[in-house]
Amino acid sequence: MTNYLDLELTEINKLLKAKKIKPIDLVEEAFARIKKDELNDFITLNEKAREEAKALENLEVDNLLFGIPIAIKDNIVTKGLRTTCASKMLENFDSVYDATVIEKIKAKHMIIIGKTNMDEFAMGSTGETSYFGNTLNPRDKSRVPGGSSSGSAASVASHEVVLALGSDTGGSVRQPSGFCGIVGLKPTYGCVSRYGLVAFASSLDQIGPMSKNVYENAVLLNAIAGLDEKDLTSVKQEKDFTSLIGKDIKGLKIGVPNYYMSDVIDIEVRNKIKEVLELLKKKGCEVDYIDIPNLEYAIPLYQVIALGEASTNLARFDGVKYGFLSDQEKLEDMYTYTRSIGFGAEVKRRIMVGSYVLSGENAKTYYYKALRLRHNIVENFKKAFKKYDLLLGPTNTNVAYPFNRHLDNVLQSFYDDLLTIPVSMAGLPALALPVGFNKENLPIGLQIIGNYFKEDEIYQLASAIESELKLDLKIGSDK
Amino acid sequence: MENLDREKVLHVASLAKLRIEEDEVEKYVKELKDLMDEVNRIQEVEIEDEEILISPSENRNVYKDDTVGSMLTREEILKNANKKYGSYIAVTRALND
Repeated sequence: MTNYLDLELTEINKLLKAKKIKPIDLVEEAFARIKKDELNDFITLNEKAREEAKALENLEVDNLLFGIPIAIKDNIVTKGLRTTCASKMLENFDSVYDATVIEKIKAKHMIIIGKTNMDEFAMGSTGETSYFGNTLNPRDKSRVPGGSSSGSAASVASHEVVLALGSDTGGSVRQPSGFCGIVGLKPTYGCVSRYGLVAFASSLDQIGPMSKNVYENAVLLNAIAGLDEKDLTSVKQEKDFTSLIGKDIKGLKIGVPNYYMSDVIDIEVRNKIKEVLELLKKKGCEVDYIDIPNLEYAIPLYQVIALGEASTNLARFDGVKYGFLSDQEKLEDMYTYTRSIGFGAEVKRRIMVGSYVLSGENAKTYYYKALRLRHNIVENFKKAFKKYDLLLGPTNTNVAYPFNRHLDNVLQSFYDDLLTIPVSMAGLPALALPVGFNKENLPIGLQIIGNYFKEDEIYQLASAIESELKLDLKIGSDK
Repeated sequence: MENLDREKVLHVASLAKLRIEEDEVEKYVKELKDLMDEVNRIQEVEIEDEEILISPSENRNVYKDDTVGSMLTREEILKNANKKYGSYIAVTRALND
């Protein structure tokens, strides 16, 4: 087997430009690696990938992403390549259109290798709620890869693909990126079009790039960001997100919310983050510990907002126009059997909670209160950003843990997102960056939170840390 | 908080068009109680201002020209439907049932 997929994007690009390799070589290597690794990180492989790679052979290599293999989370619709959301409900769903992000990466002549495994409808933090079985963590197959973008993280970490797209509602790009030791960004809400992303919680969902390093993450964000007439929450901006990479970080003001360093967080994780903070001070950054009020209510807040929105978004799955259909004769039975058989346990539980908090008087008690709390948290973050350029903390409370650990704990998947949810509630951008390993050799992630649409500043700091630490993230290397 | 009991759970299931088997009811009651105990924490927070936030992005009016864009064909619309009748999607009888 060849080893082109271990190379950096710019090196692969040089080889393609010099005609030393062809896109088909990358596709063959991707498929060979996926077969060999047996991570169950793909639900559907793109059978046309070889054909698409061949078709690129006579075209000029006109951009960095040309001919590059990419994996797509299976809740982003692709025409002619089924989109299941890892659910029985959509087991045979074949979208009739491409999501906007798919149109954009196709315009760059990227090659979709397949659709990645995930928690069902993006609901979960371990990959274990998938109808298609568990995705294995490539760093330790007995452990969860995190979720819900489980397969996207695993496929990038194992170098089966160069890049991947995930989606993040409460931490679903950042958390698995942390658990698998890769770079994952949740962009500012509105930075990337959601058109063609199967909705979970519409006021939180964002598609985000996942990569082996910071620069490649920014290159992929450049390709997918921007205003889309089909998603009017998307925002016009023509920034080059790579532009601050390599720039001096001296003088940057960094806030560390105390919430992110509490004793709930594993001590090894906290110590690793502190090492990074010391490093940043040496590089001339100002680092202060700060209080941001009410972050501790982010989880119940998320449960009301995200599950309320999910219960309404998932009301569309009635078996009529698409999706699984039960064979019941009576209308009411047709609906209830379709939904009860089509959805898995976690999804049903979340629909129930969402329906409950929005029903009757509860809408006022819970939902309205939640909207006020959400406004308050946004204001509290805004105050912090008046004084600080960036906020830092860990991505996760701990490292990747073994399968089946939390089967009976319905709250666990929310608690896994303790440090990622506050950012989502505010719609801010945040990046997960590997900054080291614990004693068991499992990756620890730093989370860099930026002000609205300041992804370029996040990349600036992340890249500075990355080049200081010079971690060897390749699986199987000596560290 | 009102009591989350068996009746309430079955009522919510009917609103959500979900079917809960008899042997699952108790499990749902327990799980929803666990979740609602957590959700109820938001009642503790005291917030002074009354403003609410529905979407984190700036909401703006967008005017579009009334032009013909891309559209789906009949075949495409029918493609993912389970039951078809000629060029229609067939559904279970909803009236006079």
